[in-house]
Amino acid sequence: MMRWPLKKPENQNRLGRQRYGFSVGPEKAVEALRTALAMGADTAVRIDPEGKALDGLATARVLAGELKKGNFDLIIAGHRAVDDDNFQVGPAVAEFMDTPHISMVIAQTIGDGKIRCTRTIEGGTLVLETALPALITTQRGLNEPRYASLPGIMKAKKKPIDTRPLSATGTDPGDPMVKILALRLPPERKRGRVIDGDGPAAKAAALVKILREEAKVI
Amino acid sequence: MTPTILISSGVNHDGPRINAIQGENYVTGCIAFTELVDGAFKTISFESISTAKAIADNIGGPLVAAVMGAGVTATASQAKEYGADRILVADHEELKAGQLDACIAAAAQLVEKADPAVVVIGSTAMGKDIAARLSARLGAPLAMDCVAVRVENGQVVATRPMYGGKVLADVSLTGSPAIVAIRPRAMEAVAAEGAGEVEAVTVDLSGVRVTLIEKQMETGKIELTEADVVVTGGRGMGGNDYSVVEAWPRFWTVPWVRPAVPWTKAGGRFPIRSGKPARSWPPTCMWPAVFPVPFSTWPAWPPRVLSWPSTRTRMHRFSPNAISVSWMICSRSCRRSPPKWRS
Repeated sequence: MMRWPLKKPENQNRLGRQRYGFSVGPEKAVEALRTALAMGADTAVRIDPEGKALDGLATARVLAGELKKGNFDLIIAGHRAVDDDNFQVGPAVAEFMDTPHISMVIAQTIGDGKIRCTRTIEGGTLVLETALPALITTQRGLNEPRYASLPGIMKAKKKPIDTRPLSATGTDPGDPMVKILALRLPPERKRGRVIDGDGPAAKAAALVKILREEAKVI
Repeated sequence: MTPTILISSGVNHDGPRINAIQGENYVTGCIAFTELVDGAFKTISFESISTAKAIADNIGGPLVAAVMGAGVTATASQAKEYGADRILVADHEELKAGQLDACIAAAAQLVEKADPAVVVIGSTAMGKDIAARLSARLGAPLAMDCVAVRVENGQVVATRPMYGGKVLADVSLTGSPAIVAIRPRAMEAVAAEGAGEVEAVTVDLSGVRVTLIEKQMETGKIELTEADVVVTGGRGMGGNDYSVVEAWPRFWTVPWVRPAVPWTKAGGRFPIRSGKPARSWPPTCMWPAVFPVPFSTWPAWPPRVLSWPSTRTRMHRFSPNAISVSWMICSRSCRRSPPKWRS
């Protein structure tokens, strides 16, 4: 849950609220949280799963449990994790917190207690509006994440990260219901085919023959 | 839905079978969610009904198709052509395409009504939202973007890509109902005969909090996941002018698409991870490997300027700045053939 819509200084912190970075993960998640701090977050919270395996739903349950404790106006999450590609945690957190959510947001305007988002769907976009508090999940193109400045990075190193062990959060993540049985490599992509021939006419003829007889697309 | 649900491992039964015991009733059967656009089923609808049918044949129980939308009652019965035993129709003005929050609320109520052991839904933009929220609402396991589903020892096992498609994972879903979101174009829609009793369901949409302001669709183009054939252009196009690629399929009368991000913005590369898979592994043709035009159009087409590699010649001719010069030197040194050794 790490991508922050912090664009330009004048656009920062329009709600005038504290900005928190939340992450559920092992020691390694600290790196991501430090980046968030360097990029402008005020506080970083890491929930340590203490070696417990958490599936998407359990992660959402833990996050929602912690987020409920703070009085947040807007929760921003990535639209999917880069590892398990689940597209699940954001909307599930919204469901557990009983707030509306808008996913895959590529543009947003906020004000007057409402957020208006443009989201992508197949072959087009939707403009949706909902009242705050709300959760949005980000899609590539929402903004240009700014670079963490060197002073920012130095400051972020000194800031403490609030680490909360899972057992202390008071949320029962439940047993993982989705288990990975096996991992394997996808079938190798077939190599492209280069058509040889004397001149364009012969190549075109060969191509048309292949497209008609083998690929059967024309 | 009561939360006390038990899935047996299938040992006590003849063959693999999911039996979620709920009170005294066995929970069996599948529900398949459909998606409509402009009053017609999208291909993914039939794919999800067919996938659900394959699972229902394995675990037993009825196959229910769920249809949500505004003015969809007439179309809904088409679901029986793919084997639906029961068709639940939620026809409501609020459920027109794009009202995601309303669709989520209706979907939850339809699942409650059908009470299935497995929920199959298309992993489209809308399907993903519905699946994720359903999973949280019902406390049910979810596998997103599946490319294959099977039933093994009474458990649903789904194959899904992870790490951006670099790995395929087999995941087992424990709990009921198991929610399987299938990737468009990954499963095959198989025609089958079903009873197809249409049943109208009144849904309560009072809790809807997200309002649709505007909907913008690209007109005149077939949506990427609905296309049968995808023609792509990349860096070899030499810029943003895709008119050549657009002209091809007009000769072939096949649908076309082009990357949403122009190559200049995609760092000079074709944006592969667009988040919208065309197929699992799409067949692609790349310019300029081939010459695609009927002979009758020669010599009017193609324009002569499109000699490959156009990017390189143009850069050389017009903008020999530091970056392009270094790029040329670099690319030349890379392409130089390895030294030949004399024996």
